[in-house]
Amino acid sequence: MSRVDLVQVTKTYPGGVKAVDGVSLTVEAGEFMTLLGPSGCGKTTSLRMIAGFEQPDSGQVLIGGKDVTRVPPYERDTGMVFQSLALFPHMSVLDNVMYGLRMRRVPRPEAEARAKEMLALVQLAGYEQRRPHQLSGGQRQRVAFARALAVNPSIFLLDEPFAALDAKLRDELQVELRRLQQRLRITTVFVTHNQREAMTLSDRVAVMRDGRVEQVGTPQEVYEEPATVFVAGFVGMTNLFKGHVVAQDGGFVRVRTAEGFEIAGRPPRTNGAPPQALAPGQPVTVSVRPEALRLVQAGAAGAVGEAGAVGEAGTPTARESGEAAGESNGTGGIPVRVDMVRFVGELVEYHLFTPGGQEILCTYQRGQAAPAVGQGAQALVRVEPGEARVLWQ
Amino acid sequence: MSGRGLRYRDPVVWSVRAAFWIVLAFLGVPLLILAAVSFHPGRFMTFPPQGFSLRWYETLFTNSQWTDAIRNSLVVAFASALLATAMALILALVLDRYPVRFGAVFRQLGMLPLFLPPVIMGVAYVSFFYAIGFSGRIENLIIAHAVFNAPFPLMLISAGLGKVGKELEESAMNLGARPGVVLRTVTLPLIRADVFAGALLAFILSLNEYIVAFLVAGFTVVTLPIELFASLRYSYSPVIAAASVVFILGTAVLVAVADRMAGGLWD
Ligand SMILES: Nc1ncnc2c1ncn2[C@@H]1O[C@H](COP(=O)(O)OP(=O)(O)O)[C@@H](O)[C@H]1O
Ligand SMILES: [Mg+2]
Repeated sequence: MSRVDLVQVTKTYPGGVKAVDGVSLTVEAGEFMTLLGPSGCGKTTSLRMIAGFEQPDSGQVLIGGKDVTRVPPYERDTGMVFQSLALFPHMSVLDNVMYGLRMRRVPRPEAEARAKEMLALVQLAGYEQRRPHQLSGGQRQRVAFARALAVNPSIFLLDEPFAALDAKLRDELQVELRRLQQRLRITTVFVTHNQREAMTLSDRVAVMRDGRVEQVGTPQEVYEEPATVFVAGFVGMTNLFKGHVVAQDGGFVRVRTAEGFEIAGRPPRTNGAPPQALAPGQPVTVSVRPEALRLVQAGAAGAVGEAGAVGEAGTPTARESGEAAGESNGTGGIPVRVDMVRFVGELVEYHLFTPGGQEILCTYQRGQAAPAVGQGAQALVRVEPGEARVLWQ
Repeated sequence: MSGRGLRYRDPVVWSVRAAFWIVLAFLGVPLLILAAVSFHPGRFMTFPPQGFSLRWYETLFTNSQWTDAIRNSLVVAFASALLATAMALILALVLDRYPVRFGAVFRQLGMLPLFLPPVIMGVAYVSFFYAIGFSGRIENLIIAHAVFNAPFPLMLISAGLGKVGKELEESAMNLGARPGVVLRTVTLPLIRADVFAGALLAFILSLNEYIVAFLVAGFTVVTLPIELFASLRYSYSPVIAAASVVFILGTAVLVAVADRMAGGLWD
């Protein structure tokens, strides 16, 4: 268990693709760090530079504080699970798991004992003599884990190991992976494009885009305090409103959206940095999570209906900006038309359209008193200022 | 494989089926006639055979003229196949796994013999061996055939390496294996079948080859095709048919073996 540092790492492939562009990232010893981003953003390349399969053009890779930038992969002591798993098809499960131990000149009886122990740890005792093609997808996955971890590497690397599995098996293996990682307390770098997977597994997430790291933080931080519009959109569902700053009062920023509605929110508290002062007229984007929007029936029923319908989960707070409501629709709510209501197990989803045609998603938890509006109804959505994030990049 | 399909009564289906039997006849009938002729007891090839005799097979395997030719062919084929496969393996590994500058050019060079007329290759070898003062020997023919046939194992081995992919090798390296160990424990075991198939192909092609063999060593080293040709020129003995039948059967067995190896990789 060692820490990993990427220091200003850049990698351009022959042909001119800049896959990784000045990435600096620290993974603490014992931490589970996920590189999250869309396909092609440089996650695999970053991981391969840690494993030693790619050489950065500039910058350094440090493992346990030691510069390993020029150290070949077979001297780096990382355990990697490839996207294709890369189990040796011509060897038994046992020989696969023993391979790394044999390379480290562990005598055969000891290597065998250790390999069996690892197989037991991933619940594959009794499968020693099978060939990889005689196993199910989930079992192969476990063999790949056991093989990578048998040598007790200082770093555990995984490149989208669950991408090919069905959802249920993926969930099971995610839980198993997290347990394994916590039991062994091994520094882990996990690559995925699946934000749910990243959120549920990681201690911290590094959100990547176009070869750069946009934000590093705990799952909760990147969800609740996204530093950029991209992060807000990529991590979880959100509603984005383009607009410009009207004024800043107190901790909140009032924003006029392109459609002329006013929304109050605050800048994200990212990594403890003080919120940037946002001057009036500054173009910004407001991000509001679907569960932070409250839906109230339009018209006369308004004030009464909203309190009753929303209940304690989302107490309407936008009342203080009533003065703004005079000139426009203000923060008193955005008028919408209900396009669709969907029941998604634990959630009720409301698909809404603004007069300008922007789609808005609003969700209620099962058990929360959801407003009784049906398809085609007119309604208002309200944003709680504490829940809206004003983003400028 | 799966045997009879549905009996579609469609003009396309039955005309393709008919064409299949015609093609098969074109391929098979001459061979059947040859086989029949080889059993003719008389001194000249005759069809239909007037009787049944194995005397020409006996001649083939006892007359030193023929046994020498068979031995020479086998020696040349075996040695040149080994050499061709070794060269192909080295070339394929360098091109696909340990890249060098101008690698693509060397691949073209390795494939070149495939696209040149054998006469030109033969003349090139003769001039080359003559220039270095080393000509007319069986080793010359072995080297010439090795180079001439190397493209086939090269193609098979390259395809095999492509199929194996790099992730298995990277995975081995990640587990601590140095490149030499990766080659021995992962790469070679996985392309073994392709290597064998390539070697068998080179062996068969060398057995069959006439032009280069004749030009490079025709006057001192007589191989089976050279002997066949020579005999045809001066006589019309059924021993030629017998030799051809043995040749065809031998080749068919080898092809079947090569096919099985290339097919039954690991799954
Ligand atoms: N071997 C390679 N040669 C050239 N370009 C590559 C190679 N590998 C990846 N790339 C390019 O580099 C970028 C980043 O790729 P990658 O690191 O695989 O992204 P991710 O894993 O996030 O999908 C992509 O644009 C991809 O096309
Ligand atoms: Mg990738």
